Amino acid sequence: MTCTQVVGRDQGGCAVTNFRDEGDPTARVANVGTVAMDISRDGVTQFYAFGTTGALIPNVPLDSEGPKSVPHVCVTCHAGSTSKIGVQTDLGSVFREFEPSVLDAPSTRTRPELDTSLFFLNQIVTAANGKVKTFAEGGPPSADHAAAAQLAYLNGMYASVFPPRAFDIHAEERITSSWRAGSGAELIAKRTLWTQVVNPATFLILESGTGNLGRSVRLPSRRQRSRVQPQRSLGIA
Amino acid sequence: MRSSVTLALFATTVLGACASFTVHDDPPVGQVVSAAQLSARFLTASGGGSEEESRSYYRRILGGESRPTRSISRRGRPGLSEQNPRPAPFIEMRMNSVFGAT
Repeated sequence: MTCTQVVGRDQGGCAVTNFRDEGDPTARVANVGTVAMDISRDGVTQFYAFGTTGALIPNVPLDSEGPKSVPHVCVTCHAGSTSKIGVQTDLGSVFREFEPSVLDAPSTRTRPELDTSLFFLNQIVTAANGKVKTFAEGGPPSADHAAAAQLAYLNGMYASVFPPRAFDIHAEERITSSWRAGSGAELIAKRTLWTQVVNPATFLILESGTGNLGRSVRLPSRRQRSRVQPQRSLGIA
Repeated sequence: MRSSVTLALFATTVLGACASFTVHDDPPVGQVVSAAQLSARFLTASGGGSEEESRSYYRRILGGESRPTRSISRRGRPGLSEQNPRPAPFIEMRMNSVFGAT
């Protein structure tokens, strides 16, 4: 994963090149594809996908369902909408965080080294989202919410910054503010649902949509709540 | 059973309330779904679009319809070109490439 030190309007970007094995780059084994993002001159986030040879490709197979189109496949995690893609390229998407607690250090680097790299990358992400076109500038209405939600998520990610240490993705400190409202059994149920299911499974996906999900969640019944058990991972990458 | 119950609650409370997605074939309230099904429902939500829409999107962000083959290297990625696009192999979601800010 690489970002330029500054990602701004018509400046720099981020890219992730994927390999089957960690040693492939050193052994000069071909990569299996690259995805990238940058910001246009007028503040529009843009997505790219490249195949093994570096050629731009329209579809990427990121799951067991086969290839899906760019940028439709991107907005699931990066927020935004493709509903007006025929007339505009501004999807209202944002840069996503690099989540320390779900990324392992390669064998060539220590955990603290990785945490430091991810911390700096997350600072770049934060700054980049500040350059994305706002609603007041003519961007989609959802853009402001997505950027604000991403900022709030990143602000709550770290327990300390010198050295960088992120909360685990299951930690209660990671519960977003809208899920902290309530009291008693309701609050316990929301806390459990968030720490054991929602955050590990989806990270920011749900929060970065067009609305504030926490306000509309229907909680399970008392009988259902009593049966909720911790769920460590749902395996959604 | 425990995970199934948790997943069912998740599906009925969270997915059902997620208005920003176009989730196809949502399970009825109370239906138990597997982790794989749940994952697929999220991913299926991104399954729209066509190859032509994708090519049109690239053409517009890379300089307009009048220059459909403009090289992406103009944006700082030498060697990357829109020429001869071809399907990519499966991309591993576990990112094990070399990390680092440059």
